[in-house]
Amino acid sequence: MLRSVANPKLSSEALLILVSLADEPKHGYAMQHDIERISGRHLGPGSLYGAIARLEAAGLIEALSETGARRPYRLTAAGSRTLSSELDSMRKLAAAGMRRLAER
Amino acid sequence: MRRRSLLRLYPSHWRQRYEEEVGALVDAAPLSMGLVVDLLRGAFEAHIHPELGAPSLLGSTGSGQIPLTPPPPANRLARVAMLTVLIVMLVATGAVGYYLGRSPSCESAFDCAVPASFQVFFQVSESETGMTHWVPVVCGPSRVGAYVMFYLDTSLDTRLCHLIRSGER
Repeated sequence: MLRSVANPKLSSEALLILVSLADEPKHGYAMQHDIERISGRHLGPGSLYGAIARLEAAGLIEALSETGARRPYRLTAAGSRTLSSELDSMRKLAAAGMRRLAER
Repeated sequence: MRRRSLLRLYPSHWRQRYEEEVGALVDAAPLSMGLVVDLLRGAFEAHIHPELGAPSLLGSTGSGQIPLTPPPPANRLARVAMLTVLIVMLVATGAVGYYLGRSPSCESAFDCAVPASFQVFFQVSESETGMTHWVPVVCGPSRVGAYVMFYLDTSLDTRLCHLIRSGER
């Protein structure tokens, strides 16, 4: 399982879910398609809901309804902060990498 | 409907929380080995992390609270059953792998002492495209252990893919 840059406890699946929920709440099916569209990576139901369960337990996302096959989820305030911090670390890492490549 | 039976491998509290949602995705997905492996891996993870999907102090929404109660005893039985199934599958896979890849192998002192080779398959993902492939590899017993560790870690990237491919014959 690939790990994130800023938070080693955040898996790549979890990061993709946080990015997918950054603009608006989505249910699992919509997340699956959105993640495939923005990253080209297909998350199976087991991987997707494993990551959703971890994010929910960590308080980074929350469900908007109690039941239903298409229960929507949204970022919590903690989830927004975590995603922002993670993306900032990725941006710095990408900038450092590009700078070093340019210096070669 | 039959593919939904794989969801019975998940702990009861997890199913109570997510079965309806995951079932809808399982119904929409084409039946494949990748789907079965994905669900088996998810079920295994749900059993070794019983806190996931458990009812919390704030109800079913989780919100980072500590679960009120530990998993009921029935879950322990389910975990034992799950581990038994996994062990049987591992032994069966090893037997099939031994049968398919039974050409002589001597890649290390250990392999020379145990003159057997295994045909194994690894699901590797390309980090750039995100596509996954099943790569067949023939290797000795000492390598099987190492590859199984790699696979469980699932930290497969293109560098490791090259390492695995270098083991092909």
